[in-house]
Formats: sequence, C-alpha cells, structure tokens
Amino acid sequence: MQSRKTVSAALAAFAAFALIAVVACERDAGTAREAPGAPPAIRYEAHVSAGGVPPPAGELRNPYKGDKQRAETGAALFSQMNCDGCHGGGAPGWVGPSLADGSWRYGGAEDEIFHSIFYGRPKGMPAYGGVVGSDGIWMLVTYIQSLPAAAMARTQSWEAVAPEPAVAPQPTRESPPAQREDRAQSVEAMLQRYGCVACHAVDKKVIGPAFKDVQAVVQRILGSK
Amino acid sequence: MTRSRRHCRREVSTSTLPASVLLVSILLTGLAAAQAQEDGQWTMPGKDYASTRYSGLAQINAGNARMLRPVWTFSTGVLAGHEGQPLVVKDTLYVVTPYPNVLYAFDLTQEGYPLRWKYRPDVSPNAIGISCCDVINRGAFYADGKIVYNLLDGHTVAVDATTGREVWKTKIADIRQGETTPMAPFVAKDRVIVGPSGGEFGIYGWLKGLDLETGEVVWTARNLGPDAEVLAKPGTFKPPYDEGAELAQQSWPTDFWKQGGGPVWGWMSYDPELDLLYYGTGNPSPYNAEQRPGDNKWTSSVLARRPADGSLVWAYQFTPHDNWDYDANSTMILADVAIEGKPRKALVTFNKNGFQYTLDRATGRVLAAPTYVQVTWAKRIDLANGRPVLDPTKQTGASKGNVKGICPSLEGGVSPASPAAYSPRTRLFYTSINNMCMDFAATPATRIAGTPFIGASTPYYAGPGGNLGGFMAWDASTGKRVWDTKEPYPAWSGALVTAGDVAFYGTLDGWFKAVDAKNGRLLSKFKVGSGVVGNPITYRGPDGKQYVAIYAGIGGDWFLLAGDVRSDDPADLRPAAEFMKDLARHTSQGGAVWVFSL
Repeated sequence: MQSRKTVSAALAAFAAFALIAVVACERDAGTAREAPGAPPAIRYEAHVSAGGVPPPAGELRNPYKGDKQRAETGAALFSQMNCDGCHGGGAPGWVGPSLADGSWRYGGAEDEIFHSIFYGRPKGMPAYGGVVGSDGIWMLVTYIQSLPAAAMARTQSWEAVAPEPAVAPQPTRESPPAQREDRAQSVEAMLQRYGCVACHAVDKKVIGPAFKDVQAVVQRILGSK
Repeated sequence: MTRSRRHCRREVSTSTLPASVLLVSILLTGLAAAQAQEDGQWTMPGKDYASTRYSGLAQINAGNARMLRPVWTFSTGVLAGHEGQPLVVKDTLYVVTPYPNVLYAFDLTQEGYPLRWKYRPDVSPNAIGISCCDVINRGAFYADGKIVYNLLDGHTVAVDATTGREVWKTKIADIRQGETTPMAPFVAKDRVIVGPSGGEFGIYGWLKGLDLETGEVVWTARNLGPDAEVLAKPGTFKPPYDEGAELAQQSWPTDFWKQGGGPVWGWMSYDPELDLLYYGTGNPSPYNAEQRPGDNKWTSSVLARRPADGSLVWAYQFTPHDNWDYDANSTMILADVAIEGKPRKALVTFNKNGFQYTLDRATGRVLAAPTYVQVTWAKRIDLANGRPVLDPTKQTGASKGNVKGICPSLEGGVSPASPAAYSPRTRLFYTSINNMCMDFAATPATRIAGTPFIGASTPYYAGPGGNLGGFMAWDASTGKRVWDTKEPYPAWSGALVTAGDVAFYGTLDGWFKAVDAKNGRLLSKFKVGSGVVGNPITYRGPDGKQYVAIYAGIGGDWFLLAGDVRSDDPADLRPAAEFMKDLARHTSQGGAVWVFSL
C-alpha cells in the first residue's frame, strides 16, 4: 500500500515541556476549556427531514472558525492521528474519501464534520472523540475547512475539448461567530504548535494523562522536597 | 472429495504418458499423482497443495483457444476489488464476494447456472475502515463437505457445501487492533490455517490453526516476538542461516514486536511428505524503519510450520529490516526444479523485492535468487548467508529524506495479490509483473490502535520501457525470462496454465487474455467490463466440457491509486493518478463472474 503520510511530531519529546507548561496553562485557561466544543446531546445526521421539519439538535459551533493557527495545528493533528493514513496527506482521498473535493458524504458544515470525526461513520470512519477530544477535533475541522476545494470537474473527458470549470465548494451552513474569551495565548499556542493536544487534554485523560493530573504530580513532587 | 469415475477414465484415456511412467510418478510424489489424475475440479485457491494453479484439462489448447467465448456471467452485486478465485466442487460453482462477503453456490447442471443458495453472513461494517487497501477477499477453501472462508471483520466461517447452512463461525482477529481477514484459509491435516492483514495498522502478526470439524482455535503462533509465542521450540526449529534463541524478539527494539506487523494476507502451500506448511509474512510496521532498528524477524519472511500443532520448523527472511514495504506474501509454489543440473525439491516464489527465490523446501536454504525485474535496492543475494547485498544509497528512513529511484515499487515486481502458476509440462512459471519504481520519503509514525501506522510517502512511476506491467514465462532453472508480454497498466491478476499449454490472465483495463504457454502469442481476448484483479480457474462442467472462469472488478490497491475509476460515490471526486492518467478511460468499478468455453 502506498500512502502520503506527512510528518508526525515526536510527542514524547514535548512531554517534559508540557510538564512545565501545564502550570502556566492552567492558570491562564481557567476551567471552562472543554465547554465551547462539547458534543451535543442529540446527534445531527438527518439530511432529509420528514415533513420538512428538522429534528431538534444541540447546537455546535466551531470556536476556531477561520483561525489560521488552529488550522495549522489541525494539519499537524491530521498527520499525528493517522487521518492521512486513510484520507492521504492533504486529504485527496485514499481508502477513505477525498475531503478536499468540495463534496461530502455526511455533510461539510462544521457541526457535520465534527460529528463525523467525534462519533465516526458507519462506512469505516473510526470515532476519534475519545482520543482527540472536542478541542482537537475543532482544530481538525478548522484545518479541513481551510483546505482549498480542489479543481475537481464533475466531467472527466479524454477528448480534446476545453475542461469544465472546477466545481465550486459547496456552501456550508453559516454559524454565528463564536464567542470566546480572549486570554493569554502563549503557552496554549505552544501546546498546539507542538501537537501536545494530540495526546493531552486539560482535565481528562486522552492518550496521555490530563495536564491537571500531571500538574498534581509535579506539585506533589515539588511539595515533598 | 468425491471424484467422478467417468471423469477419471476420460482423463487417463487422453494421457500421452505410458502407464508405467504414470505409475512411477504416482509412486514418486503425491504432487505428480494429483496432476496425473485431473478431476476437473478447483477445490482450493491454488488448485493443489503445491499451489501450481495448473490444470490437467486440455480441451482448450493453443490451437483452438481463439474460439473461446463468454457463455455465462453473473453480477455479484458488490463494487469492490474482486480478488481471489471461484471454486468448483463436483457440479457446483462457489463465489465469495468482497465485503460483505456473500457466498453464492451456482448449479452447473442447469442452463444459466441458477443459484442453489446464497449465504449472507453477519459481518461488521467497522472492518471497512480497518482495511488498508479496499475491502477485498481472496477466496474460499473446500474441505470435508464445507466451504471455509474468512469474513473481513475477523471471523472464519464454515458453510455446508450442500445446504449453505453455517456450520461454525469463529472469531479469529480483532479489528480494534487493526486486524482484518481478507486472506483465503488453507486446510491441511484437518486444520484450517488463517492469518490477519494489518501491516499498515501495527498489528502483532500471527497464524492460527482451527479444528476443521468444530472451528475451535487449536493453536496460535506469532510471526514475531518471544520463541514461546512464535512456537519456535528447541530441537524442532532449525533456521537455515540464523543461530541462537529468541531471534524474533532480539531482532527488535524492546517490546516493539508487539506492534511490528508481520501480517499474513497471501497464500499457503503444503508438502504432505515433509508435513510442512509454507506461508509468507508481510512488512514490519511502521514503514519508517528507523523506529525499529534490527532485522525485525520474521517479517517479510517465509515460515515453514507443522500444521497439526503450528510448531515452527524453519524460517527465512527475504528482506531483513525491510524499509521498502516488501511484503513476502507471494504464493510459494512447490515444484521440482533443476538447479545446476540437479533436480531439487524446491519452493519457488516471486518476491515483491524483485528477486525470484528458489529455496530447498526441506531446509529453507536459498538455491538461487536471480532478479526478475529491475532491482536497485540490493545488488544481489549472497547465497552463503542468504542476505541481500544492499545498495547503501537506497536505504530509507525518516532521517534520510526522500530517497529516489527505488525499484521495484512497493506494489512489488510481482504483487502477492496476483499468484503465479507452474506447468510441469513446460517446466515454466507464469506470472503477472509490474514494471514500476518509486521514491520513498519516510516520516515518524505514531501507533493509535485501530488507525493506520505507516509513515511514508511513496509515489510510483514506470520502470524501463515505460509500460507499467506485463505477463511472463520464467524458467527457474536458468533464472531467465522465456517470453513476456507488455501491458500498459500494472498487472494484478493471478495466472492459470493448463495441459492444453494455454496460459490465462486478466488486465487492469479489463481484458481477459489467453496466450500460448510456449511463446506468449495472444490467442484470445475479451473485455470483461471492469479491471481484473482476480485469478482465473478452469474446470470440467457436468457436460464434460472445459470452462474457464474469472472475476471482473477493479480494486485492491488499484482502487486507491486510481480513485478516478470510482463511480458509486458522488461525494468522492479524485484526480487521475499521475503515473496512469487514463486508466479510468478504460474501466470503472464492477463486480462480475465470467465463464468462457469453446
């Protein structure tokens, strides 16, 4: 099998980094870190609503919409979480479908992409909610939505005629601008840049321990001296 | 299996061998006996235990094969790579589809081959996302009144060949750990032998022996790790070149073998006299070899085990510390080959790495290892120690950046998905070939169970001559091509050769071809509607006529590489692959069984 794997950061090297950073991170971030991205109580999957009435659903908004730095972190996560192993580096499609052709099996709106990653999908997409956490998934969503829709014409011709203009990206449902508290970003940005959030979250264990737990251990060690 | 007396008599009467020669050959080897008494069936993937894919049927011959025409076709209802091959047992044709692994049984005694029954197993769609390279299945094995095959989601089933009822179903693999099971089981000594795919998912590779009667797992043997788990027992295990204990553990970084790959997705052979079962293992995980210093035994290797208890008798590693994804899952053909004039009980295989290995199948020692396509990663195989003499400029790894000009590509000079054939009449081997090279840029990879564990970008391009594939006849006693044909696209179908001296193969752009086994001359071709990645078989119908069957249905790696052959998903548009821009002009997805006759 061929793949188009891109760089996966050496997460372990940053574990020590995180140990130090977490104290500062906690101080700055407060405790409501997971709130903006928490999954809704009701899964939104119906794309044709019987009687034209959409079912009630929790509202999901991407807190990082259009955030270039989060999109970059999302790109790193796309490799670190092995998304590229199925969708290809840059997501042109492989054993999984293309995410860069402007069309979507399960919808291309931010909440729909969030669902696809968090809960998985029945044709083989694993559920990543447990390992990445909602914050990381929003960064993946931000990255995926930042991909330029490839110039994929819906007509493929082998005759000598002018190519069809590329398909326009499908419109996605507009979300109202997310309300986020503005806070000191330096440590958080570093955690994202180096992909720490691929394995760690603030207050719950993902692949690695929660930053809070690490902080507790550090404080215990420091306190015992 | 039951053998028709009428069919036996007919075959003997057409034999040109004097009775005394026939008798001697029967006495000499069980293999020869199987060939002499052609029963017109096809009951296991490779036709016989020796995996020759040779049939003694000779009605269709080089003189009349131009008259071949399609006489029957059936849509499987599934769009995915139709690898593997049908079976014919008595007067029933059996077909296993790719996921969702439907088993069809066709009545060959009636016009139009109506179904006797079909079996639709309960198989989890979660396996789709754990399959590295399409949701293919490589076929079934008939034994003891049962059709035995694997479901993609890690189960083996035995289905009553007469009634279509499930006899047993056993969980053998764990998709949560990246294991899927598209390979065809092999049955020897009342053991159903099975293994997992997952070299791209960081599995801990194994082989299992199930009880044919009950489906119970009798033994599990790891392909890597501690001797106790590899079933390498002192006194029994005698590798041809290596010495010492814990070879499959010491050749890895600490505990890395637990995610080191070594899958089993190819074919198996069995020598009843030596009581040895042969199978190849796939690549070590991940592709970035710098994460796993050492030889990484026994990945990219051939292993010989006792089928009854799984104990390892010998093992030979074709590609130590494989850093090019050179899986060794190609078919292992058991044949008598003259090496330097002396007939040897050999095992012949066309490895992905571009070398054709002829091994002494009793000991595993390499008798000859010529290249059969252009090879750049190694200069030759040192017969004194069995190891490749490497080209240091073609070694890959994350620190080495993009290493260019590696031949063959990781699709293999011959893909293990396209098993070769051997004719005892011409003493030649027949196989599809790929003519591709690659660049290889490795990157660090992180294992997350149930997700890909790879770490490499490996674009392909055509090798010398510009054609991407072909089909060849190969003389293992001289290490030379006798003839070849050129194909514009990589060649991914298995081979069939018959006593009529006709060889058959299919192409990625959807042609099914018959060629003269002696010189490669095209005798017949027919466009079967979708690219061929399956393996042709031949059988004698209840009407006494010879038939040839083949699947159409492009897929496997070629579905991924040529994403523009997809038509079933409006939400998945892809550009043509750079190295074969117009394949989608000639084929699209499909799923059909075709039968030809004169």
